[in-house]
Amino acid sequence: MGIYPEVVLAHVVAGRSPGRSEDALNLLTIRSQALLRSELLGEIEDALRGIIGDLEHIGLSFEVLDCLAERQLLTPLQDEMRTLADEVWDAGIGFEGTVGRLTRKAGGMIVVENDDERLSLTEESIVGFVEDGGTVAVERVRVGAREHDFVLPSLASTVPSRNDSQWDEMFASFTGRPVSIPVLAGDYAADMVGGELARRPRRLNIRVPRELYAGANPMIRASAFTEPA
Amino acid sequence: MSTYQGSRRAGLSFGDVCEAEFLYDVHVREDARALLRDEAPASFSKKKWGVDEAVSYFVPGLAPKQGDSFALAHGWHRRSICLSDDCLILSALGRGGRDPGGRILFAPVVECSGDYLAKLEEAPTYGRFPLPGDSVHTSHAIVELRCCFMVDARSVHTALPDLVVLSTADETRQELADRWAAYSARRGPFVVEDNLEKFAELLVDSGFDEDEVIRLADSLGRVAGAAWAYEGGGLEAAGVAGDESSAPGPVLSELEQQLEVLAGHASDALAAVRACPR
Repeated sequence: MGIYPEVVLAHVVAGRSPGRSEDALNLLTIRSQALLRSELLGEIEDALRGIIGDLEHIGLSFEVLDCLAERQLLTPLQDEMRTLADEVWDAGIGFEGTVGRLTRKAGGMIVVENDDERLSLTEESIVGFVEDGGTVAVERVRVGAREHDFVLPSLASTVPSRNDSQWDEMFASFTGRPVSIPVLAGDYAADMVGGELARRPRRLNIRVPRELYAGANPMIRASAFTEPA
Repeated sequence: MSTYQGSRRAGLSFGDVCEAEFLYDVHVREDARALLRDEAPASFSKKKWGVDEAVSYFVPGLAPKQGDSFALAHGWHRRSICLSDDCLILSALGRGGRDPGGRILFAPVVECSGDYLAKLEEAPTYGRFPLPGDSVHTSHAIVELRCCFMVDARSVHTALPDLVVLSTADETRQELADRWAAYSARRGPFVVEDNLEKFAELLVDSGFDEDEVIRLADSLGRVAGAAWAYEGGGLEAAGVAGDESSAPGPVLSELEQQLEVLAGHASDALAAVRACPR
């Protein structure tokens, strides 16, 4: 579920004469605008601004979800959206969404499928540009007694599973050798030289009577724990 | 003197020499990076590398996934010696049937030549402790206290049956504990000797009689020794008595005796200091 587009979709479903659904649509609009102005959405905007330019196409959108999850913004957003959906449900507006891969079929039909379900729809449901094989969201929007399916470009809900050829491509240059990254010299001897003052030999070799100190270091406990095995 | 004892102690103790695949003296430098962990699936791993299980791979410099704690750091796989005290070890490994938890301190043990060991004995340092070879283990080695590192107690617990390869003798353990006190807290006999040596040399260079200076240093060192014994022996025993709800009488007698010794040495040292010309 997105945020603002649902308002638009709901108005589309309601048509030019929303009639009895007007109050519900107003509630959805007000609630969505409040969420858009919230501190949470501000944080999300800041987080995404840094990566969105790097996305070559929407199919890489799991990076968006990773970005939000990494900053612990994804769960709060999902909670807010769930709350919003519950509120407008009581007013007569329902949203039901699923994400899957789109395949175009003959006769203007399309199929959207994921691991759990397979939906057959018509091309008229598509809003915007979606690629054959791309990830889409199917939004089933109900306003009062009217209901319509919308097929939209989507953020994938999970990292798409890679097939064997994709794994092959990923590891094509994998040699098993360590990754080359700029590192500081790791010379053990050099590391050991520093950090200790040079000490001069003792002239008088002062010694304290160690018997006074014996047995008084509580690092060591004489107990059954230290008995020979 | 023997460095090691003939048989290993049961469990794990301060001064036990350990070996395990995961014992690295890890430390971070400015090139440390978080590691993103991902997995190649078993189906691919089997085909590509003949490994019939998912294979983890790590990418440095990318943001880690939530819950991952992998970092790229420096370190060497080392035979290591346990530096946590015996009381903490018991707790970390699950005292009283509790689950193991926390971390246990280790320091790497590095083999060295006899010549190097002799030099270290001649000019001892706080951060390096010699482990001369003996009949139990013939190689000379040094404990690098300056490179100590911590290990998850759960891993230590799992590895424990085969973890300890050598147990140091009681006297070695005592000296190691005193050297560790010197390195980590600048306390104990090794530090007292070091400070008294410097001051004694100053006095001799200032015209004091060398024999008188050595007697004065001995006197000052005895006060520190008695205070060390009072704190680490008498008061520690008092705390243990409290833990075990023992009768307080013997503890009070022991404290009284130690305070008398301390007062005697303090009185002698005070007289010796007062006798020194200014």
